Order: sequence, then structure tokens, then C-alpha cells
Amino acid sequence: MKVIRSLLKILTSVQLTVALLALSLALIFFGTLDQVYIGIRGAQKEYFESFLAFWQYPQQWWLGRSLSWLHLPVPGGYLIGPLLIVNLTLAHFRYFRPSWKKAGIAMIHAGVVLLLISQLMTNILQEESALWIEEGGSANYMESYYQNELVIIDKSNPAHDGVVSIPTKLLERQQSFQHPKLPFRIRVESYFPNSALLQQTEGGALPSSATNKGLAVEMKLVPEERPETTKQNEKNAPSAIVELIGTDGSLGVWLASVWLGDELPAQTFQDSGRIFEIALRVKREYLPFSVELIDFTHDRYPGTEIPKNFSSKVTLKNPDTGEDRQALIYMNHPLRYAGLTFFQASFTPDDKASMLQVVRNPGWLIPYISCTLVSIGLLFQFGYHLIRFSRGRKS
Amino acid sequence: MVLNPLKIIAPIRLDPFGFRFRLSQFQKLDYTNRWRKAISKNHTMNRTCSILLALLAISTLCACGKSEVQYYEIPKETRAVANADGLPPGHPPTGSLGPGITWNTPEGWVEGGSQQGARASFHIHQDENHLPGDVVVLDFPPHVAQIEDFTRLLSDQLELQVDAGQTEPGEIEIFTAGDNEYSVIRLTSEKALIDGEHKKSILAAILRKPDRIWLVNLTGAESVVVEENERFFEFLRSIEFKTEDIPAASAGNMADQSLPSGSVSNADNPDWVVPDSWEPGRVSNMRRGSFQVRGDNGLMVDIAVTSFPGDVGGMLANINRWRGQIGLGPITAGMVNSVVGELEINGKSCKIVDIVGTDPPSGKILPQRSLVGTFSHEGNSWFFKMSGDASLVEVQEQTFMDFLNSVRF
Repeated sequence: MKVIRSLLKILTSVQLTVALLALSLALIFFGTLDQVYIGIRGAQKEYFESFLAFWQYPQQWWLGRSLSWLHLPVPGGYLIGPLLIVNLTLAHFRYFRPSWKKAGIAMIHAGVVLLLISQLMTNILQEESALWIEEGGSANYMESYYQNELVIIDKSNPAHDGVVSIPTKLLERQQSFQHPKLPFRIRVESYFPNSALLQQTEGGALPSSATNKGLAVEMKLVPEERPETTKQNEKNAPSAIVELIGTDGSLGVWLASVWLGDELPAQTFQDSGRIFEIALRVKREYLPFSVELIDFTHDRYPGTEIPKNFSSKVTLKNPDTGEDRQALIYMNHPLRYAGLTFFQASFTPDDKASMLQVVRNPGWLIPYISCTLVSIGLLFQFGYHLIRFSRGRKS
Repeated sequence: MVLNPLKIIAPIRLDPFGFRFRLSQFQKLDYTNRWRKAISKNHTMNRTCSILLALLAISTLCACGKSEVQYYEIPKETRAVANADGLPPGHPPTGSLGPGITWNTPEGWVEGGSQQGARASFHIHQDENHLPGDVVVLDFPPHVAQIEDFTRLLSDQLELQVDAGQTEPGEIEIFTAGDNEYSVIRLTSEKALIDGEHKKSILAAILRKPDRIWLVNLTGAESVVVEENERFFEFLRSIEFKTEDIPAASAGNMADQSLPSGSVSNADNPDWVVPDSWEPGRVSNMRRGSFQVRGDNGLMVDIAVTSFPGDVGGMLANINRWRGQIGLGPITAGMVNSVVGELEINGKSCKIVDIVGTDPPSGKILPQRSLVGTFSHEGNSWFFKMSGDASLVEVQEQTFMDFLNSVRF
């Protein structure tokens, strides 16, 4: 009981609050330093989506070679965030006594806690994708920034294709897949989160590939593992060697890789009288509606090449609801539709195609609510004391 | 004791978030059972809020890293195509196949599911008891094909062995709608191509106009094509052409437009000078550069710059792959030297391969040609490939060579 009491005392202490806020500053500081070398995504993963991070003295800095052994432990976002929530919540229950006098403080606390929870929700639930559209064209699927998928496409039906999508994350930890829509089983021989495809030469140093079907055999390709990257201007190129096992035995060992893209013929095969295609590609998500790009505008300040404004005029068509409406998407003015937010994100150098960043964030409204709460709380608290103070002076 | 409601109501109103109640405040008061209930209710609220918060946190954490095998169905072609005129602001409203042409959509047909190069497409799915079907409307320059060519193309889709020259005239019906005289072809596969159970049928109507050839094509299971027969001709009757507005350009070319969400690295691209006459081309994951040239009468040439690690299987494999793409058979290793030329460009060796197709490959109307320059640089193979309708490739040959000569690693 004594232990619990002392633990509660620590957890509700203002010293802990101050310490956690100071550690948050340190986390942001070291995370930002490392972002230069490992990119935003890497920094986010290493520092903010972890319990403990280690900052290494960069070799590029002064005395870097002799000090690069220095690894400084930094509490990660997953440690500081929940502790702060627990600290604020318990402190509130311990110290707070409801009265008009402290209503503002209660609202500020509630707003901050809500903001922390919303950040956690965003971190876990938010999905971001890219939707590229050329002027005059339309698109009905978006592509993930970082995720890839192994797909088996049933092309037998004349009306539509049936797609079985296996996220590559699963290939890392699962060896075999059986889907009711497929008459065969997929066995993962090997998976490379980042890879290059090399040529297999006779008498060469490369090991012979396990593949016996498809482009890997025709083109003598062997995947070679490469270190994973989190840098902003680089992207992992995963490859996998999989064996397809039908009821009558093996349908071959295939290489599927994002390298084997649109420029190469599709890898198709037949089983049980049906035609299938196998591919490893950037993860797609199909939408029940389409977005057509009517016009992309890239305004510059007169006489200069300095960008002034980017905007995409689009038509949104939903055959299910009969919607057919136009919208203008530009900086800080996204289109919100069907739980998705379409931001103007990028474009091609010739200004003929636009990229919309599509974000699905179920908790997008919470930061607005929490900021409103904090603002009202601050106004109330300061206002209350101001009024009391001025009344006191009058009396 | 007189109850001061304000003293009690205020804390209740101040507790919208389930704050703990200070009982002492109430204990000082001579409250009634009513207020006791209110306090008890507030404690319940506290507990409920805590439980909800915990559930929220648990469900949020459970959703962490959610990834599972999914199954979904998509139309055959998922990317829509641009209008033939390529002018989005004048995008035709529903009920129009493009400038100068209108129609009425038959009952049970749903517009959408665009197909590459199609001026319009419709999906037919009357109900769960009926198999689906598709209708597409395509247009071609007038000189590119004869009726027999279409017969052969459609036969290929049904895996029928029909040579263009052997088409029996009796197989082609004539259907007249107003001033338009359509040649109608009916074909059915010999094998059960749909789900291994149903034969596949095509009902196609071809209309030759002075400036375009129009193909209206109904595809589906044999029973679907029979069922949709009347609606198909009703659709043909409803099409109205205004020849003065029909554009000369070919159908859209926007299919497969997935721009790179990032190739492995864009930092290593060599320098090159793009000829003024080239337009930006379709973009895809693997392209480092993409251009196109549109010729008269819908002729098209595509220029792609790609890079792969290693030598992608060697020259023989590459040549045979390119030959296959334009409908030619493979060559043997001994023939490689006879089809590969070599140039030195800005200090780098460039191997040139020129492949000319003899017959139009499946899905193409004209013979195709590919002209490829390959460089090897820092363990990567760079391919600069111009391919498309042979006659336009010939026109663009010198421009392409100038482009190749501008490549500097």
C-alpha cells in the first residue's frame, strides 16, 4: 500500500510533469538532429514511435570519428506521451476541486490530454496515400507511400478482376497463405524488404535463384537484399520469391518484385481453368468514386519562378450516390469526402499532372476540439481572474 | 436549512468531463435524496468515462499495425481515359461520347469502368442471377483497318482461329440506323472462357465514316450477348454523329498513368536534352523519363527511359523481350551481333537495337517498331526506348538519335 502511495505521489507530481516536458524538448531536439541523416520517416520511427531511442554522435561533426561511439539514450515518444497522459490525469483527480475558480484549468488540462490522445490515434490510425492524376484524366485508386503488396489477380472474369492482396508486412512473418478465392496456396520462399535485381551469369558469383517460372527465369534475374532506407528521397524496392502450390502440385517458384513494373510483361499463369497474374507492387486502395483533374494551376509571382499558388480543379464522381461535383483543391484548402482528405501535395515539372495526398484520419476532428477547449479554458481562467482583480480594486 | 441550489448546481454543471466530485461540499449541505442520486450519478459518469477512455486506448492500440490479406474486385481497366480531344474543360456531359456525338443509355447499362482508349464504356449487370457484360465504344483513324482486321482482332479475344482473309461475307450483317450503316459481327468462342463454364461472345458493330471508324463492342457470356441483343441495337439507333465536330486526334492515352510514388532514387539520372517536339508521356513507377509524339491520324510513339540494376538478363534476353512486345519471335544468341550496333556517346558506349515488326501484334492496328539505346553505368542498365507505330518511329528516328546523343552520365 505504501509502495502504491509513493508511486501515486510520483505519478501525480508536478516535478514529473516538468521533467516529462523537458524530456519532450530533448526528444524533439535529438530527433531533429538525426532527421538530417535518417530522414523524416526514419526520425519518426526511431524517436517518436519508440519507447527508447539512442542518439549517436554524428561522424560528420567535429571530432566525429573519435566521438561516434557516444550513444545517448533518449526516452521515446511512446514513453513520454503515455506518461504525460497518466501524470496529467492522475494529478487532476488528486488535486482538482471543482469550482468556478478552476474551471478554466480543468478545460486546459482536458484539452491537452485530448490533444495527446488524438496524436496517438493519428499516429496509429492515420493512413496516407498518393493520388496522381493527369489533366483530363481521372483516377479511382490511390497508392501508399511506403507500403507494398503481393497481389494475385484473377483475370478470368470478363467483367472484373479479382484481386487478392497480401501486404508485404505479412510476408516478413508468415510463410504460407491460403485464400478461399484462390485454388492454390502461396508459400514464401524468401522476402527482401529492399532489393536490387542482378543478372545471373554462368560461372558468376551470384547464387542460382530458386525461381523456375516467370520473368526471373526468362531474364536470369536474382534478387539481392539491400539495406532498408527511410530517407525522404529514397524508397524501398521489395522483392519476394514465392512458390504457388496447387492441388496437383507446384505451379512454379516465381519472383515478384516492384522492379518488375509496367515496362515488363505481366507474369501470368493458369490454374483450374482460370488465368492469374502475380505481382508485387505499391499498395493500392481502390475508391468507390473517381476524381477527375480538370485543370492544374501553378501560379508564380510575376517575373519570377517563385511559386505563388498550386491548385487542382477536380470533378468528383460517385456512381453510387450520383454525385458529380467540382471542387478546387489548393494549399490549406483540402477536399474532404467520404472520410478522406485530399490535399494538394505535388505536381509534375510540366504542370500537367497533380498529386493529391489522401489522408484518412478518423481522429481529425479531435485536435480542433482540444484546441477549442484549451482556448476557452485560457480565456475563462484569465478572464475570471481579471474580473476578480478589477472588482477587488474597485472595492 | 435552506438549500442554495446554485452551490450544488454549479459543480454539477462544471463537471462535463466526469471530474471527481468533492463530497465535502455537499456534506455541509442538508441535501435530499435527489442530490444524493445526482452525486451517485456523477460517480457513475466518472467510472463510465474512465472505462470509455480505457476502451478507446485499447481499441486504438489493437488497431496498431493492422495488416491483413484482402480480396476485392475491380473493373478490367481501372484508370479512366481522357477525351479524344484532350480538353477537360469541355468535358462532355453524361449522354455524350465526346464532341459531336450523343446517345441514350439503354436500361440496365451503367456508364463507367473505362477501358484504355475507349470513347465510352458501359457495364451491364442486370441482377445477381445474370452474368455481367461490357460495352465499349472505340474510334480509329479511317485508313488503319479493314473490317477483316477487326474480325481477326475480335477472334483473337475469343481464341478463335480466323484469318483475316478467310472471313466469310455472310458472317457480317448490315444494320442501318438513320444515315449510318453498321457492319455487325457476331462471334462466339468454342471453349468455355468465362469461369470455365460459359462460352464468351462478342457482338460488334463497325461504322465507317469519312474521318473515323467507330467500333461498338458488346462482350460477355453467350447468354448475356443474346439477352442484350435488342438493347445493343437500340443503343446503335440512338447514336447521333455530327461530323463537323469530330476531332481528328485519336482516343485518350491516359491509361496506366500511375506516376511514381518514388523510384529507388532519382538522384542518379543522367543529363539529357528533350526535343522540343516531344510531349511529356505517360508516367509509371519504373520510368526515369517519359515522352510521346502524336502523329497524324492517331499515330503514336512512346519514348521511355528506364534503369535497372545489372544488365537485366543480358542483351539476348532483352532483345527477345522487345521482339515479343511487337509481335516477333525470339532470335538465337548467334544472331545478337547482327542486330546490335554500337556508338560512342559522350564517352560512353551505347548499344543500339532496331526492331521492326512485320504484322500488327495483338491489340495493335499497325506494325510496330522499337528503337533502343542501352548504356551501362555504375552497374545499372539504362534503356532509352522509342516504340510505336513503325511509320512514325521512322519519322522520329533522327530526333531520337539526337536525344540519345545528348545523354551525359
